[in-house]
Amino acid sequence: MSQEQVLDERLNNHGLADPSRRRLLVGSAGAMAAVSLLGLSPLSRAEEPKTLPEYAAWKDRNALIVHSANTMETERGAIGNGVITPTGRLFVRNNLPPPPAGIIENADAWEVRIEGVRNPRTLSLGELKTMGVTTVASVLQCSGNGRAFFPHGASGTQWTVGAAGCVMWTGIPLKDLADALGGLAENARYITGTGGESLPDGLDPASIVVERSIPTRALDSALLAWEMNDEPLTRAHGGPLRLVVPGYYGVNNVKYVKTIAFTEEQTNAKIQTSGYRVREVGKSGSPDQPSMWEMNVKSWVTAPLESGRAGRNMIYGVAFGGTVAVEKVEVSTDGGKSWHPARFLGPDLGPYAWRPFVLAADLPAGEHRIVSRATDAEGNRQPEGRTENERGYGHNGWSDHGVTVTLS
Amino acid sequence: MRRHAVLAGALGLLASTPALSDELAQGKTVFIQEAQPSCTICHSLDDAGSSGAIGPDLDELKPSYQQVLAAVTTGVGVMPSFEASLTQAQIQAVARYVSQATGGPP
Repeated sequence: MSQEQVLDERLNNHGLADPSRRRLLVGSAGAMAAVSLLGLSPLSRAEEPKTLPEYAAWKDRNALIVHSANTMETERGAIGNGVITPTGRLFVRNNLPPPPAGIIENADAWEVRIEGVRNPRTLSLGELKTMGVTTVASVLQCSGNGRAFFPHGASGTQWTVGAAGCVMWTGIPLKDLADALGGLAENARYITGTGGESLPDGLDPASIVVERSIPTRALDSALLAWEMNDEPLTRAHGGPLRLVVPGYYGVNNVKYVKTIAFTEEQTNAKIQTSGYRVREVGKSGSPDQPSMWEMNVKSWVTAPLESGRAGRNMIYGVAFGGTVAVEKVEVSTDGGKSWHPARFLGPDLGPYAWRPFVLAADLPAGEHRIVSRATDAEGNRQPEGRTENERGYGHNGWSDHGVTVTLS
Repeated sequence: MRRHAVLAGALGLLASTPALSDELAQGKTVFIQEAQPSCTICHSLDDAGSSGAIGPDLDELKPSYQQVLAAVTTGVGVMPSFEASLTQAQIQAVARYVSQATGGPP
C-alpha cells in the first residue's frame, strides 16, 4: 500500500474536513499527527516521531500520538473493551509544564489549603488519607476532544477521539472534607481549585495560573484523588493530589492541587474568564459565555477502523453520558440511514464511567461508514452534527466521529 | 548583520535582499526585547537563546509565517494578543523571524 493510500484512509477514518491535516506514516510504528496549534498543519516531510517527555517516559509509546511535550493523545485503536484505560495509555494534557520530579517523592507531605469553610485549614495528604476515602470510576476527557473535526481550523491541539480515557480514582470526597471543616461559608457558590505549578517571573500570574471554578453542585461527586488505577497518582496525571470532578471536562480536574476555596464568585484567572468558554466562531472568550463544565453524551467506534474481512464483524466502541449515566447506544453501518441497538460490554462502573459496547453485523465487501449514537439516562441523544464554536469545544456529533471501513 | 545573512542563506532564501535581513534582525529584537511580556519567557527558540517552557517549543513546532502572525495578533489559548502593544511592522517582523529561525514553512 502506498503512503498516499494510507494517508487517504486515515483522513477518511478520522472524518477530517480539512485535507491539509495530514498524518505521516513513520516506519511501522504508526502514524504521527502533524503538530498544529493554529489549525493549519505544516506539511513536514520525514519528521522523526517525538519521544515521550521525561515525566511520561514510562508510558506506552506505541499507544500514543505525541503532539508536544505537554499533549499526548491515545491512538483510537488503543482503547479496548476492558472499561478501565491502562495508565500507560491514558492521554496527557498539561496547561503548564509539570512540576519537577521531587513533587511526588514525599507525597504524604504535600499540603493543600482549604478555604471558604467555617474552619479553614492547611492539611497534608497524609492527614487527608485518615479523614475519608472513596473509589470512583470516571471518564477524563479534554474539552477539545474532537476539535480536529471542525472545518474552520479551531486553534489548539487537533485531537480526534484520543483525549479521553476512563480511570479509577481513589481519594477523599470533597463534601466529606468540607463537612469535617465545619461546612461551607454562607455565600459559597463555587469550588475554586488552584494548581501547584510554579509560575515564571515576568508574567501576570492570573494570565497563566491553572485555577478553575465549578459550581458547588459538583460536591455530589468531586474528590481529592491520590491514586489512579490502584497506584499512587503519577506526576504526569497530576500527582500527588488532584481535584477530580467526575463528569466534568478535564480542565476542571486541577492537577497538583494546592488550594481549594469555596468562593462566591468564579476566579479571575484567564483560564476561567476567557479560557474554555463556548462562543461563536470569530469571537473571543468572555465570562458571560458558557464554561466547559459538565460533559455531554458521547460515543465513538474503536474497531474496526480501516479494513477487515467481509462477513461477520464485531463493531466495538465506548459510550458515556458525562454526569448522567449513558442509557443506550445504537450503531449504523450505512452512515446513519438505519440504526441497530448495541449491547453494553462489561460491568456498569457507575454514571461517570464509560461503557464499552459491541454490535455484531454481517457486512458485504465494500466500503462502510460506521457510526454510533448514544443516549443518556435523561433522554439526551448525540446530535448528528457539531455545534460550531470558536475553539472547537464539546464536539459530540455522531457524523464526524464515524469511521469508513473497507471490507474485502 | 552577517549572522542574519548567513541564516537566510542557509535556509535557501533570497539572501541578498537587505530588506529581508533587516526584517529578521528586527524580528529577533521584537522576540527578545520589545514584546511585553518577552517571548523568551514562555517559548524555547535556539536562535534566540531562550528556553521558556510555558508555551510550545518553537524549534519543535516550526510554525509558518501565517501561524505566527495569527498567534501574535489574536493570541491562542493562554498566549495573549500583542495587537495593542506591537505595531504591524513588529508583528510581521517577529513572524518572519520565528518561521525562518525554526525552519518552518515561509
